[in-house]
Amino acid sequence: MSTSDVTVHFIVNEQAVQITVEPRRLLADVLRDDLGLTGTHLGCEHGVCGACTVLVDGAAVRSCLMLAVQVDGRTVRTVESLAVGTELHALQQAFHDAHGLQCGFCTPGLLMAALALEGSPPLGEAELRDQLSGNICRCTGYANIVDAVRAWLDGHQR
Amino acid sequence: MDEAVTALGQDEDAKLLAGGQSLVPMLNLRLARPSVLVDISFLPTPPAHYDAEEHAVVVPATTTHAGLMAQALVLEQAPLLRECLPLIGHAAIRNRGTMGGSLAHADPSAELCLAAVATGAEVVTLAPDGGRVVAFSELVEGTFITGLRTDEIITEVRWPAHSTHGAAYEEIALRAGDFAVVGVATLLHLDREGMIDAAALGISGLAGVPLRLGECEQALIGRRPDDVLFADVASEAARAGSPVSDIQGSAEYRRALAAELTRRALSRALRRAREPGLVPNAPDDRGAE
Repeated sequence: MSTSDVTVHFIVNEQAVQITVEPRRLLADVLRDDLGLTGTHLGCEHGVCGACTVLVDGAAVRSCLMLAVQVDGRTVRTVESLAVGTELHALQQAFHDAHGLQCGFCTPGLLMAALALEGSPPLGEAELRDQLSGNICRCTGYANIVDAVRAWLDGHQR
Repeated sequence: MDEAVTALGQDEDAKLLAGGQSLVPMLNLRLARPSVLVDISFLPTPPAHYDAEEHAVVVPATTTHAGLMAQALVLEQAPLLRECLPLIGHAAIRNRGTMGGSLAHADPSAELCLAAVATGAEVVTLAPDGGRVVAFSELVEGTFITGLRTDEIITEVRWPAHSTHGAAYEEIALRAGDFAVVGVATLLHLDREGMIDAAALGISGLAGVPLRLGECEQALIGRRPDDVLFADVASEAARAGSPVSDIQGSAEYRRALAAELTRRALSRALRRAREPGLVPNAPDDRGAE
């Protein structure tokens, strides 16, 4: 039985797209290679590092663990949706201000994981860390990342 | 689901895809090479509900862990689920991973697998011959092995209701969200005099499958709960199974973990049994004595 291509309709960063792909293709690869949205990074490709995190219908998911065909009819949000031109999103500004990134490889995944917390009830310290624990960073030691997200969430709730 | 069963039956190399949090990593690593993927993640999932007649919480198999965590009223009837769901992986994994998928995968350290064994939860399946209702503990046959046939799908899971029990789930993993080295699940119920009149105790990490510790349960029932009793039961629990030594720890380490985690779990379950209104598994409460 040959794999015939599947046409997928979905919304990416508020734009409707239609692509035709082999069912075996990962969402991460389709976002990067077919749609040119290379902000989503591939670190491990087996669901451990979180660098590939995007939002699907508002929820953080590992895009290396979804097949592209599974987002048919859904809404996807990637890191490219944050900045407007050269103007940083408040969350990105918070990362900048708190020095929450160095090499930046894990950063898109962490930004999306943090974005998923927007609108959630106030989080305690342990809970916030738990929500970010699915993303690995090799550079920063995490403290500044937690500070950045905390500053951004606090700014929201004011 | 009927179409899914038919599709699975048509090709022996077909695999079911739900949340994909276990299967897709295997695809990516080329450890699994199915010819066909039958995707049931699109199917609408009804909410879980409490069946008062059966005194059970019925959870559709495609319910995601995050989706179930959001059903607070239902979880009041299944306090062990309320305890262990937040411990599964990470938030992004909980947003996609499903209960049916977790049980069908039968990872020996999986929280839902241990909880199902400890509580005697049953799975309901759909198959060409109609399907069956079977205790998960009977369905598990080995590490990552269940008795599910290739064209048999778990459709729902029935958890005995334990709203008046105190529940606790303790585990240790090398990093938060990693697969647990050892896990302990327990439920305790107290009678009017404060004596234990019902107990469930299960442990993962000491064997290739989660173990239900029936003898330890019997040692608890009819007794007044105190530290001495719990220490004795914890020592007994640590002698169960035959743990292996591997990169995550030696057999001796696993037994030591088993004893300590059993003691903590029993203490916490007792606190919960005495104060049903206690906020469950607050992150700052984890591991606190």
